[in-house]
Amino acid sequence: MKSISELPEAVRRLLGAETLKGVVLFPGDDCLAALERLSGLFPTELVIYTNSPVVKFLSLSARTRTCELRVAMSPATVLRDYLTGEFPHCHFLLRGDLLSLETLYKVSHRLAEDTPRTFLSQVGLIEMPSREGFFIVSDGLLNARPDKSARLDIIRNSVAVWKGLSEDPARVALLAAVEQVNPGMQVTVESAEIASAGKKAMAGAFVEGPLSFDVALDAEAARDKGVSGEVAGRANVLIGSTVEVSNGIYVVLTLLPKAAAASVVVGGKAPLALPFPSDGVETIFNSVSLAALLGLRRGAA
Amino acid sequence: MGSRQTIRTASQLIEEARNLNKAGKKRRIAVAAAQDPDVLDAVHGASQDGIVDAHLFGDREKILAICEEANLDPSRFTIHNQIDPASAARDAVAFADSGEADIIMKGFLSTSTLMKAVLSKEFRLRMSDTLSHVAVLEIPGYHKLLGFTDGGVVVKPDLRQRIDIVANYLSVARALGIETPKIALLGPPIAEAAPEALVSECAQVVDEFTKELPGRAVPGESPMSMPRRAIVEGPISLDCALSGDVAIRRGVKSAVSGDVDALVVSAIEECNVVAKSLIVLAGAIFAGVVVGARVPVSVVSRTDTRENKKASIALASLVSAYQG
Repeated sequence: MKSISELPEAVRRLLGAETLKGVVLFPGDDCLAALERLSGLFPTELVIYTNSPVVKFLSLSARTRTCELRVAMSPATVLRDYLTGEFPHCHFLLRGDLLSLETLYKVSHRLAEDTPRTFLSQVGLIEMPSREGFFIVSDGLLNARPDKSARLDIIRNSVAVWKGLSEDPARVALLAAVEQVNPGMQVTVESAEIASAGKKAMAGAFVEGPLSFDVALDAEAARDKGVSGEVAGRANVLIGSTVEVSNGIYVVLTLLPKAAAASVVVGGKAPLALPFPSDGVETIFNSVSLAALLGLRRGAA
Repeated sequence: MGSRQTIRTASQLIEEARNLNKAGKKRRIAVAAAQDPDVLDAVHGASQDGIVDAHLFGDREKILAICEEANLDPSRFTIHNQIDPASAARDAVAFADSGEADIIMKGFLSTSTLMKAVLSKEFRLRMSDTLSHVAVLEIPGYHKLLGFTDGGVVVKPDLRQRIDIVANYLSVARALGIETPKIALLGPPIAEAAPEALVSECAQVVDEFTKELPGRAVPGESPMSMPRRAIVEGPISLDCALSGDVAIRRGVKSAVSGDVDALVVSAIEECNVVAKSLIVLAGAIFAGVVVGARVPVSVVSRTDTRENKKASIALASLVSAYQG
């Protein structure tokens, strides 16, 4: 896959004659519009959790194979059960506009405490008109101050998403303000340590850092600053040191110049499409397509 | 000084800096260790544009060789020969200290060597304890210039430095003609994820700029005057800071939302990485300046485009002109 616009085609190929099954948690109007588009492309079965009037879902249910509405009072419980696999199989989950990021955050943190082997992280996919191909940025939501081990898990989850999208090897950049290791800048020291651990742990992926943003993505800047390697100038997975860095990249690029994007949470039993409150119908649709693609791949494996 | 139009684009920024010349307030720049091809090219361009008069402190031979190679006219510069970069830094700072230059510019030496000279108690350029970097970006999709601070000097500000960083930004806001700047102290996307220390420090910064404190040092204000007003809020998530619609959707009430002038971050990476993403991928135009001393310090990087370098010198010129 070379472009986010190819996501639906990739879903179609994997889906074959199957029906796409999704669970939708508390959608608002934008989510419903994105789901209408989805169900116009694929045979779809949806379970929709809601606490709002049913009439809104009429036009959607006309397009899907089945569209079951369930009224639920506790979004947190429903979300948790699906992320831990307490409910029957589905390909994807979708966080609707009416399920707050705050609830998602709380559930994911309780889950991390109860089941330490589960590691959830948000993975964003961004594509700029100025540049060929897309890149990943993570974690822009769930892990606010990741330590070294959490950053390795974030890398692992991101690389898994990358592999689901592209034949090219994942080239992971640990972002910092500069590319020299400097004891006065803790992030650069940690990034170098994570890069060295990541190189050993991650098969089929290149992990390097610290790298500044321009050196990571701009081949000319990498050359100018004399940084060589498998990642500098051609990174496709960007890992921030804090949630503000990763979320910042996603938010400024999608909100201001309106980059094409998709966002998911991975690491649970089913991939969760996680559009941000700043995302419109297009990005919600992309996010659902990405989650569906990852879910179908998991089913195939 | 009268009321001015607010500068909203990079080209207005450069235009306003040119206008200083017409108003008889042409800026004088002192370049420390000027034997740097990119810096010389930028200063030469700014001099051609009538933005600055340039004094170069550095290795005369190397400077002349660079001029020859790059086809720059050395007669545009006044060259003060000093081969040792650290001494050239001290000479440039002394020159500004004696009132003969309005801006100091970094040449072929480390930032820390130059900052040490600027902050040295031997001179009177030191105002607060904190020098900080302000980047101002023109971003496709945003309706005005957006400030980012600090992505260049302070690695991880403590409370005192946070306050200084906001105060330092006010000198840039004034240079841009922003009457009451709206300043967002950034936090994580989920309020609950904000560390307690961040929440309490932000509250103290907000408090600091809410009460009108006489006697607090704001660059350019005489100590007894009232500090200029600013609307400071935080911690606030970036999406809510940038978009009023998103803030409403998320139930966040904010006086800066959707119309923010500057983003103040908690770590150098946040600012540096996010601003660079806009420059590298979205064609944002960038101007940067180091503020907090009696004269602004201009720092351009090899990878900056010519336009960005010119905008940076223009910004430093305006900061210096409106610093009083």
